[in-house]
Amino acid sequence: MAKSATELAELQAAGIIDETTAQRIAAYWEQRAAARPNRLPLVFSLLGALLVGLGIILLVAHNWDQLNRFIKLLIAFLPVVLGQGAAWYAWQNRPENVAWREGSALFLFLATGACLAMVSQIYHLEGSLSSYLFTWIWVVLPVIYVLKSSAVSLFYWVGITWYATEAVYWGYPHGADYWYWFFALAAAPFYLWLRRTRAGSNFTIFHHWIIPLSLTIGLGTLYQQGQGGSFLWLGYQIFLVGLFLVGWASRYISGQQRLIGNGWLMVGLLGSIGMLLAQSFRPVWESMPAIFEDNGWQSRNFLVFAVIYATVIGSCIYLLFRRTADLRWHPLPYLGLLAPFIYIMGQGNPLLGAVIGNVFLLLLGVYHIGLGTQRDHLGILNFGLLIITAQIICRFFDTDLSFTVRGLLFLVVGAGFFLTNIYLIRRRQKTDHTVLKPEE
Amino acid sequence: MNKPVYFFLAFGLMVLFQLGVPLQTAYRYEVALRKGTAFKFDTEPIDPNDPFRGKYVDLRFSPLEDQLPRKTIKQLATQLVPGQTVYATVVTDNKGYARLSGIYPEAPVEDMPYFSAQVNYLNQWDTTGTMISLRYPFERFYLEEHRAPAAEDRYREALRDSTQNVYALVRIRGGLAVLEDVVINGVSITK
Repeated sequence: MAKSATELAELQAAGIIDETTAQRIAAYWEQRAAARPNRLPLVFSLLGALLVGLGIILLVAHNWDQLNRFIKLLIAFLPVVLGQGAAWYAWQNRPENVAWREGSALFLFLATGACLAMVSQIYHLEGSLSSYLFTWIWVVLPVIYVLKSSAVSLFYWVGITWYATEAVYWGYPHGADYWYWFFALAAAPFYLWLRRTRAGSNFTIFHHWIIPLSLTIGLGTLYQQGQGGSFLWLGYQIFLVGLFLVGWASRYISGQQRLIGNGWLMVGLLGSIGMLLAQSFRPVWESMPAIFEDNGWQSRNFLVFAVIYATVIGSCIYLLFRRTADLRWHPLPYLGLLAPFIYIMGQGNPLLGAVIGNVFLLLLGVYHIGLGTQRDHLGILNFGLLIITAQIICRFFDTDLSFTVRGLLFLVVGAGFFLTNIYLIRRRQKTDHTVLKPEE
Repeated sequence: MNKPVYFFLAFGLMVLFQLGVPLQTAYRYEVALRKGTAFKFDTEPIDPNDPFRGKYVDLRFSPLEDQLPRKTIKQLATQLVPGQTVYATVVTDNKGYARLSGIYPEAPVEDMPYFSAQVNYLNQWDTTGTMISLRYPFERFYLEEHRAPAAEDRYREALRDSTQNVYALVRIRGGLAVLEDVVINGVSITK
């Protein structure tokens, strides 16, 4: 600010702006600074709550066995009561202070975790990590809504994802566990509220990333062993297209163009590319369990696939027929719609499956190169080239192709990088000149 | 700033819920500890840890095959599924140690000490080895962090000397079992 003030004075002294303009600029800056609150107190209060809370958990884990049970119980409940008091104070006396509100809520969240841990430690409760997380999630859920805390909501999503992996992936015996979906649904209204009321906040942007990631991990918990395994594989492919569509639709509704804030779109897009890269190899198709064997459609995997597929078909139709949604040339919706047929073909003929995988990768690459050129955006252009490069690198490991063909592929893509980038930069310079000319 | 009434209500409920959940657990186990019947379970401890709850000693108990007749176990193995909750009734044998007297899919109605356990895994084919493995609700004993490894060493020493013994002191009441102590050769593991 000080630097800007001296610059203003300099401009005024040089006669470029007059005094009233200088005052108006200064007033505008001041007003802008007031509208954009200082984030430092918030960051420090969150860090402080996190460190103190984790410190308490570690102290608890030390397990003070010379204290008697009642003193231990008192100590277990003390941080919870403190956290509740701080949250109450924050809402009563500092309702407009985000640092106070989020900090106290985060502390309360950690204190409840420490308290539950300590109670189960005092009474030597057997109980897996997943059952501990389960209780903790329940106790934390009201904090999100009562204290309207975005920070706690973020940790909640991390927590329920951890719970899902503990309960199903690492847990034994493996079984269905639908609680993850219940927890996710329970926190969804808060996320929607954040989207509506705090669209630009960093917390909301973190949610845009963490929720699609969490759902992607959570989807695997629905997997049923033994039967119809390829339906879940297929379900995943379509699910990722679904995430992408959510991201695309929200971009088209809100008009927000920045990709870094659109986790749904990015997770869906990058995930799809990852799966396609795997499917561009023939052995992947050869080893996949056949879709129509072992009565796969009687399994839960089929049900999961059917629900996802129906949802994605619906959203594709809705978005593809809206001109403004501008989705008609994007290859991903078509991948989502055609995926079941691609799987049937690919399992019948693995080479065909690999070819289709490659075609979609190429289409995605070309689409982004085209979009980058059209929008004059080097980032998107190079992203498209990167997709093709990844594909070519995968082909490097394909022993079916001769060295000459692989060498030529590399040459072509390398040249592509050079030429397209140079073309775009040249075009930019030309347009810059044409804009400048009339002013000269 | 005036907050609407429902905020106070919601805040109050949240506070009660947060205190109530751990308090209720503490209360149930406290009652079982004070009023429960004491049993000594023959055990062997090992020492792992948990990120939130710290160091603990993991207890292994003698296999079901040593406690119930083979015929009963064979029959049970065909009826149970992994992950299922079962109820085990306990008696004290003539040496003073606890022994399971039966496994039931439902909680027993007669007035005898029992606790709930989980079926860990089943093996219906190998009729000579372990056919049913149960997870007891008292397999963990939390210890101060520096003591857990030391306790394990003491246990190993006790093993070498066959005259020494290790048991878990468990109190059981109304289907709830609480681990009170682990005793190595007559001395508490916490000493």
